[in-house]
Amino acid sequence: MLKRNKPDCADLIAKAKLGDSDAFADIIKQYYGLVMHYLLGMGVKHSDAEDVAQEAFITLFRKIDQVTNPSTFTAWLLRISRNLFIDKLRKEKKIDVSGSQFELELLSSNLSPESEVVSNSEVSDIFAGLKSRERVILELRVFQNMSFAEIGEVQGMTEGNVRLVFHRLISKLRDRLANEFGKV
Amino acid sequence: MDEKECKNVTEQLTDPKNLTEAGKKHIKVCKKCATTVSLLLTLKAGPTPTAGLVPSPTFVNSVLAGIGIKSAVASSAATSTATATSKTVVTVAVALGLATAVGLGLTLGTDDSFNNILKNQKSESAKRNIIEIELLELEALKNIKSPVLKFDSPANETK
Repeated sequence: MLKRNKPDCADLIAKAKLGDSDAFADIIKQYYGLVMHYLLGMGVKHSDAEDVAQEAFITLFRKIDQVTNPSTFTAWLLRISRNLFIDKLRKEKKIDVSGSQFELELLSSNLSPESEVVSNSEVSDIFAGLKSRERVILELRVFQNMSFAEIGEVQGMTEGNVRLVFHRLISKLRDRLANEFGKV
Repeated sequence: MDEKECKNVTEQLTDPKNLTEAGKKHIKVCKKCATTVSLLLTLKAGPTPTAGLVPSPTFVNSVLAGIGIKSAVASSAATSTATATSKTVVTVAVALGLATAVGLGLTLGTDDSFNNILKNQKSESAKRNIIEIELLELEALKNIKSPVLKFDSPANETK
């Protein structure tokens, strides 16, 4: 198995349970992109997605003491986000789910300084043009090491469907890597 | 190579369970799986696919405010503003000092002082020395009183 490069969130959760405000801020910074892409992948507009993400983090932090197993943290956060989105949809019945590709392209202006540096390199070109849903599946599987069943649960897809999307995605990225770097 | 076997290896590579011996053997002889390993290593070396989106300080502050935490981000932003201000002051001071030095050189009718400054800028330590000297010059300039011009009273001229 390839080891995760991302720092473990267990330490952050432990600090957040003690009321460490920096830990809360770090959790937001670490998971904001995932939550936003998760919501955008459901077709939510950027402004609505930010509202839902904000509520999701607040809900998460209010219940942070309930997190006993850090490995389920990501799935829990995404489940909260999805439930809040559904609640909002029911209440308002006016959430715009027509988030366009054009709007997603505008999001590139929100790149972090480190990502901007990397985006200038060829490595980040691998992710270029990927849909939000694809990014989330890739992150959950490759970086969070979640099972296909878990990913299916949070994405509202069957396990088999997640597998299918994942393998197509890997195949696409492998071809892209081969074309861009001539590694094959 | 068997497509099913390749998919199995890809799943093992991204699963917490270790890669099986059969999988390891397969990678050694399968070009496609070797590329998959290369791809996964490349992905792991860089930012995650969702890392490009970062929260604004306003977003972080509003979440923290939502759980009753006084924003740490706001205070750090204030600190960075203060740092930026002090940096600006130093930059202006250095620029003024440099301008003063250039001005002095021109007044003396020679470019030597200016050329010396440019030469010295090549090394960082020399640069720091120049800044210190020029800040001292600025301090000295502050202490110089502007000349008081004395003219005869217009009433005297008409006499």
